[in-house]
Order: sequence, then C-alpha cells, then structure tokens
Amino acid sequence: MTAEAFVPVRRAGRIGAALRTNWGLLWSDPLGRTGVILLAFVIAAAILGPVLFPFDPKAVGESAKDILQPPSAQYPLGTDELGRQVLWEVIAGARTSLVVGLVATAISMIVGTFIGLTAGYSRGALGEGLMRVTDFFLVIPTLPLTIVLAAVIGQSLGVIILVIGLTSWPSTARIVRSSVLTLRERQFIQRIASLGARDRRIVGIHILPNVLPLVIANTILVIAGSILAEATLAFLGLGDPVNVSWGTMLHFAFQSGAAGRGAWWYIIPPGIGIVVTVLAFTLIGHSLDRILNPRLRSR
Amino acid sequence: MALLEVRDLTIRYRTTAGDIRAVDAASLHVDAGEAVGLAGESGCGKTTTALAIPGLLPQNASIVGGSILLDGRELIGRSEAEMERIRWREASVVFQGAMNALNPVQRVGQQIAEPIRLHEPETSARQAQVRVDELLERVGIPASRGREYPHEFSGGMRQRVMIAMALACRPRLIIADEPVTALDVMVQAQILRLLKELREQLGLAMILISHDLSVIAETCDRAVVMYAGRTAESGDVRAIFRTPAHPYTQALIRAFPNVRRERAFVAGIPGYPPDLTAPIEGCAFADRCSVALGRCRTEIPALRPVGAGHDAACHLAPEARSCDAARTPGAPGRLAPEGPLVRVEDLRVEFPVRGRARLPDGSKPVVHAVDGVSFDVRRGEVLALVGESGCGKTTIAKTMVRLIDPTSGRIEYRGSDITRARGGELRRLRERFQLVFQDPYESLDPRQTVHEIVEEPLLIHGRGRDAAERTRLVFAALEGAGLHPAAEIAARYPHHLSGGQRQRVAIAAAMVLEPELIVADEPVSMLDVSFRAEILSLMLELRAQRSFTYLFITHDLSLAWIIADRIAVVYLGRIVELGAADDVIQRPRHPYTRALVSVIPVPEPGAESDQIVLTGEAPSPSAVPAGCRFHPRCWLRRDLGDPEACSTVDPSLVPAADGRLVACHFPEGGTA
Repeated sequence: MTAEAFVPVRRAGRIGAALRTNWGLLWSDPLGRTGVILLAFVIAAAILGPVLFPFDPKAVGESAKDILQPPSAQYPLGTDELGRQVLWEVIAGARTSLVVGLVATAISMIVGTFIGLTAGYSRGALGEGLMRVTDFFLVIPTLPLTIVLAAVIGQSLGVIILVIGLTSWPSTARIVRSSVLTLRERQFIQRIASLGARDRRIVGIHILPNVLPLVIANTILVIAGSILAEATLAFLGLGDPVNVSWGTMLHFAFQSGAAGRGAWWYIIPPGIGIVVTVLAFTLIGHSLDRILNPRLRSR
Repeated sequence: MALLEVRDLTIRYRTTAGDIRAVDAASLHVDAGEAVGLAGESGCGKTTTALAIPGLLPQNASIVGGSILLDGRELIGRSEAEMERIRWREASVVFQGAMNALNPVQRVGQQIAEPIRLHEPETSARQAQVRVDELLERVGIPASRGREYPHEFSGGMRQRVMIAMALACRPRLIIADEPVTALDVMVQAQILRLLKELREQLGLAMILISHDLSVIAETCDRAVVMYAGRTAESGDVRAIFRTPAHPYTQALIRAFPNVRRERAFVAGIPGYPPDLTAPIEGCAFADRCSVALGRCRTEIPALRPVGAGHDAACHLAPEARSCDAARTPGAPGRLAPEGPLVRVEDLRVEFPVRGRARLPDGSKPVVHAVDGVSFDVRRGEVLALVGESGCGKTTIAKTMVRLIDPTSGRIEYRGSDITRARGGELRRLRERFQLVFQDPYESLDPRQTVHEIVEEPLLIHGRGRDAAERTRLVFAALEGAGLHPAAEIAARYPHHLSGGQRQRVAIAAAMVLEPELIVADEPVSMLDVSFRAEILSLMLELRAQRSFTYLFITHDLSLAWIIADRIAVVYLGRIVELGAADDVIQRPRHPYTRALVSVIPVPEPGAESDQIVLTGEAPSPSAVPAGCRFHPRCWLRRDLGDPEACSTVDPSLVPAADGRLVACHFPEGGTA
C-alpha cells in the first residue's frame, strides 16, 4: 500500500471501536448487565411515559371520593391527595429525575475535569490556588448551602440543576488532578514536550484521552449522586412544584399525611423509582470502573 | 550424585490468549558447591525453570511433566507446607529487584530474622539476633545497620540484605534471579565478588539466572543456555564460550561486546523468538538460524553430547558454525567529524534541596547535579556520556538541549548562544534536537497509532502541506527506521509491537523532522541483546545517510565503546575523562575510568584480570568532597601515598600527553 492509499485511524473511529469493546465487556458483566437493563426501563419510562400516559398536574380528582384511593382497577397505583393517578405521576417523575441527574452531572464533569486538568498540569501558584478552591468546595456542607441557594435564588428546575452541578465537581477535580500529576511525569508526555509541543496540545491530545476513562466511570457514579441530591432537595420542599419528580411526590405525600393515613401506594412507588434509578447507575458505574481501570480488572 | 537434577521439566501458563508452553522438556543439574548459570533472553523460560524448583510459580502455571530431584528427593507434587520447609532451609531465592522485595516499614535486621523465626522455632530471640549480625557482617554490612530501614540503604546494599536473607537458614543451594540487573557496573562487580566469596566460604551451590552472558562467564562453573523453553546447550563455561556448539549460543555470544579484545561491532540475531502458544515443529531456533537444514524444521533435536560434559540440542552440532559475516570490524558508517555543532562551557545545574535544612553558614543546600562541565559535540560524531546512575549524565544532555535551565554556563549551537533562548527560537531548536528515550514501552502514547505518533512532530512544527504529504513523510521515516511494510505498521498501536519495533518507532518519530542532533538516553538498555545490535546499527546507518550527530547516554561502557567516536566519563556532575573511544576503553587514564573498565564483564571465562573494585558508592551530589571529587574512593591516591593535592586542589580537565582530556593530578600515574 502506498502513502496515498493509507487511511489513518482517526479519533472518531477509535472512540467508536472503544465503545464497542467496552459495551461488550459491560454486557458480559452480570452486575453491569443488570444495571443496563434497569436503566433501560427508566429511560423508556422517561421517554415514552409522558407520550403514552400524559400526566397533567392540573387534572385533579372530581370529588373527595377520588382522594388517596388505594390501588384498584380504575387507579392501578391508587391516587394522591389531589385525586391524581400515582402511576402517571411516577412515570412523569422519571423524566425529571433523569434530566436533573444528567444535566447536573454534565456541569459537574466539565467543571471538575477542567479544574482538575489545569490544577494538575500547571505547576506553581495557579495549580495550588485551584486546589485550595476545590478543597473549599469539598468541605462546605452541601445541603445547607443548597437550601440557602434555593431559598435565595428561587425554586426552579434550572436552579436545582445548577446547585447540584456546582457542588458535586470537587471529587471529579481531585481524581483528574491526581491522574494528571502521574501522567505528566510519564516519558511519553516528556517526549512530546521535548518536541516543542504547546501545553494546549499536550493536555488536549495526550493527557485528556488518558484521563477520560477515569472521568467516565466517575461520571456515572456522580449521576446517581445527583439524582439522590435532587430527591433530597425536592423532599425537603425545595423542588420545582411545577415539574413533578419523585422527590416532590414524597414531599407532598408527607405533607398530606399519607403515611399516617396508611396510603403506602403514594410513598412506595416514587421510593422504588429512586432506588432503581440510583442502583442502575451505581451498578453500571462500578462495572465501568473495573473495565476502564485495568488494575481492577482481574479482581 | 548431583545436588539438584531437573529432568524434562515442562511447564505451561494458562492465559486468555491460550496456553503458553513456557518450559518445554528442559533439563539441568547442579552439583554440590557448583555455580550454574541459566542464560537466555526474556521469555526463554529461564526464570520459570528456576522458580519451579522451590515451588514459587505463579497461580496460572502448572507443571505438566518432568521431575525435580533435590538430594534425590522428588519435589514435584509436594504440599505447600513441605515446600515451605525446603524453600528456606535447602534452596533459597535472591529475587530480582531488591528495591521492591523488602518491606519498607520493617527494620532490615528483623526481616532477615524472619525466616529463622519461622523455620527454626527452637532458635531463641538472642540466638537469632547473633545470627543476623553474623549474616550482615558476612555480606559486608556493619551489624549495627540492622536497626535501619530499607530506605536508608542504597540499591547495592539492599541487594546484600537480600542475599543475607537467602542465607539465613543455611541452605545448600541459592537461586539468584538476575541479582545484578539494574545495578551500576561497580556495584555489580561488588555483588558478584561477594557471591563468589560466599560460595567459597560456605560451599554453596548456586543457580544464577541472567540475560547477560558476560556475568555468567565471569561467575559460573557451568552454563545452561535456554531458547523458547528448551535447553539449547549446556556445559562447562569454558567449553560453551570457546567452542559454542549451538548456533543460538554462537549468535548470542557475538551480540556482546568484549572490551578485552579488538573493537568489533556486535551482531544481532535476525527475526523474532517463536510464538509459544503454538506447538513448535522441529528446532525452535530454525527460523532465525543461518545454517538450518530441512531436517531442523521437522525434527526436534535432542540434547546430546558434543564434548566432555558439553551437550547441545542441534542436529548439526558440533559442526554448526553460524555465519560470522555480520561481525564487521569497527562500527559501520563512520564519518570524519567536522567542527563543533554544540559547545558547552562551564555548565552548572543546581537543584534546590526540599525542606528547611540549612548549611552551617545559613545558606540553603543545593544538589550540584552538573558542576562545571565543558565539551563540544562535533558535527557528525557519536559522543557517548557514560557514568553510573545519578552522576548527572542525563541532566547534562537535557540541559544541553534546553529541556532543563542551566544555573550558569554557556551553550552554543552553530556558534550562537542558546543558553537563554525563548519562544520561537526555542521552538526552532526543538526541531533541530530530538530525543530518543530509554523505555520504548513508556515513551509512546498508548492511545495513539504509530501513524499519529510519527506524524505528531510534523503537526507540532507545521510541516507538510496536507495530510497526504505528512503521511508520505511518516512512511518515509518508518521505512527509514526499518519498519516494513510502513502502511501495516502505521495502523498499529504500540502494544501490538515488540520492544525493538517500538524503539524503531521512537527513532522514526525523532528523525521525521530531519534533526541535526539526536540525544539517545540509554536507547537499548531495555531491549534484549539480540535486538540491541539492530538498533545500534540502524542508528549508525542513519547517521551515514542523513548526517545526524548523536549524543549517546549510557551506563554501559562496552556499548559506548562500540558505538561512539568519543567517550566522556562523568563522575559526580563533572567530566573526568574525555577522549577517543578506543583510548578511553583500552588505555584509560583517569583512575575512575580505569576502575570502571577493569570491572566490565566480558563474555570470555577467565578473562577477568586485575579488577579494581572500588568500595562503597559515589557520594551524594549535595555533598561533593573537597579537592578532587574522586579522592575519597581513589585507589591511585592510596598507591601514591596520599599526595596533598588530591584532597585540596580540584583538578581541571586538561589535555594529557596524548591529547586526551583528563581531570586528574597524576594522569600518567601508574600507567603501564
């Protein structure tokens, strides 16, 4: 073959190949496969649910007979304190939880990776300074901060996403930084530096792809944490009252005294929703961690 | 009767890629008090064979045939508890890599006492302590140092501790797995001398595993050469080295330079070792053998006598004589060097010592990594910087190409000062100077294809009009580095390549920009000997074709000798001798060089003459001795009756009678 006919492997093709092999490994791991199946259910609910069973928060029950009804043929999972179908509500909650989890994590991942890369690669004051900022975010108690922020800025889905995203990045930053610190001393990085490559190239082309697997495995776990955080905030009444989520459901269930009235159908379904989603992400995250981190692979 | 008799030992490793037949009907025997060397390249099964004796094989290995008789008792099939007893009291192991084999949080003395406590519970704590003190003294460590921790010991001292530990339960056989690999040549000589003395004093039998034939030639009575899991040849070292019967042994010996002889370029062995997952028909070496016949590819040769106590597994032995043509006198492609390309004047590099320590005068202590070095690199030459680890040779080179900032001094490139070059000027220098690193496994980005690795320098410096043009340049560089076919290699990742191929990729990446100077930092020390010669001759060919200049950094004087035009010997941040390669190696003048050259092992038994083994190790560059920095260890100073100048006046590097530069007050002292 001549140089003209040579088709170099480019980044996109390589990422595709990496995804295929890693997908195979994930699917062959029993824990990973369980996580994937559970997640597929949740995603299906989030995408198809609102189309097939549109939930209208304003569609309240017509009379007192419809309020907090136990499951029956008419109401498969019973009704809430306003006489709305719990089943429709749980399905609608999946979308909110996933959106919050994914978007908040994306913010956290981008901020954390950027700060981790910068802090790990730049020697001296900048790196030190960034790490002190990270330490600061790591030690501030997240819950009170989010409560205060939500109270001050207002209650909307955007604020919740932002608050979760901006408080969960420090762990990613720490992981990325420590990995960059070792990579920076590796010979291939030093060789590239000796070629006269600019820092942007060294970080973007050599360091970032080598830390990315770590970031991805970590990200999946951060999603689980973000979903829990959203549920916590919503349960405490700081959620967006317009967009129903599993956390807000629990919040209103407790406010209306569902527990005292024995309305278990109003409490258990959103609880199961949270557990299944968080479990799915946790299983996938741990499985990916083993796959992408060869040192753990044999254990 | 032999102390140890290994017969037809066959061992398999189960891996995801299939079963590997690591050892295939290997045989060896060791008599009481005898030293047997187990030689061969990586993957030949020498370590697996040896570690099977004390039952120390990894989990995925299984012995599928043969027998191991120690003192007439079969060891295969014994329980772990029985092997545990045999392991320390009858056959003990000195492991490779003394750095990692000691527990960092336990005192050295306690670690030596541990096997005694475990295997001789009747010994009281006091008796054990007495034994530990004896053992330490025996391996040349003051007994008082037994209370110290491993980090307080240097590499050589740790290796001594490992030996003391192996001796703790008075075994009759010691298995030493690469005991001197990764040690500096002087420390290596000290350890080899210690092993020799211990054998004489204690009547120990020893199996010495080494990839370095020279080490075996010097320390063993008999040698066993292994190839692809099989015994290729075994016999008395004199017989093996003087009249090697197997073509592999012959080729292997030719791959080692011999500084006691005329300079000759070493020859590599073409091809690669066979894949051990597939059964090998016939002789395993047939594909790389220059004299193989049709029969060699179909029939496995049996180990049969070719002389008194000398066996070889070759159909053609003892008549087989593999072709010697590759051994050309001198290095290929020598050029007459021209004027200086780079000139370094009074270069100094100091690193601050971390922490709050202060010298008595209140100043902060510094490490004088490079302490006043002047030399020039002539256009078209190979200049070798040689010295022990930590002597500053790599720092000198990296400072010269402006990867480390000098504290003071001047660096000139083609007559212009580049000491403080910045920005665009520095980037242009990066184009002209290229580096090849020691470890090809480490110096290539594992996530890039060979194509991207070699293309990257072009992208960084904006060379090549478009992707097609760059690909053409990449292919030309790959072909130039001997990687054929380029298109196939270019699409691969580094982990698909062998060590030698990876180093060729690194060389291709270094030459794609057509630099003037290539700094090669130990470029072959991680490679098997049969690939070393190929890389070295590639480097010299490229020099002839593309008029490269090389700065070759190595700890191995014999390698420097065969590849370099001139050699600079570095000791404690200073050049102590600089001259033509032949002069420096064959007629060294500085007492340090003379000691180093005298301890270079050679692949010729009985050649070790008048070794000058320096005691101790080089002092730290943060506490350089006053006067001549070598004087505390100098044997010549002692011979001359301790002249005052040595300990008071720092000698400068000045021309001696023959024009060579020597930094010694007595450059003619004691020369024959």
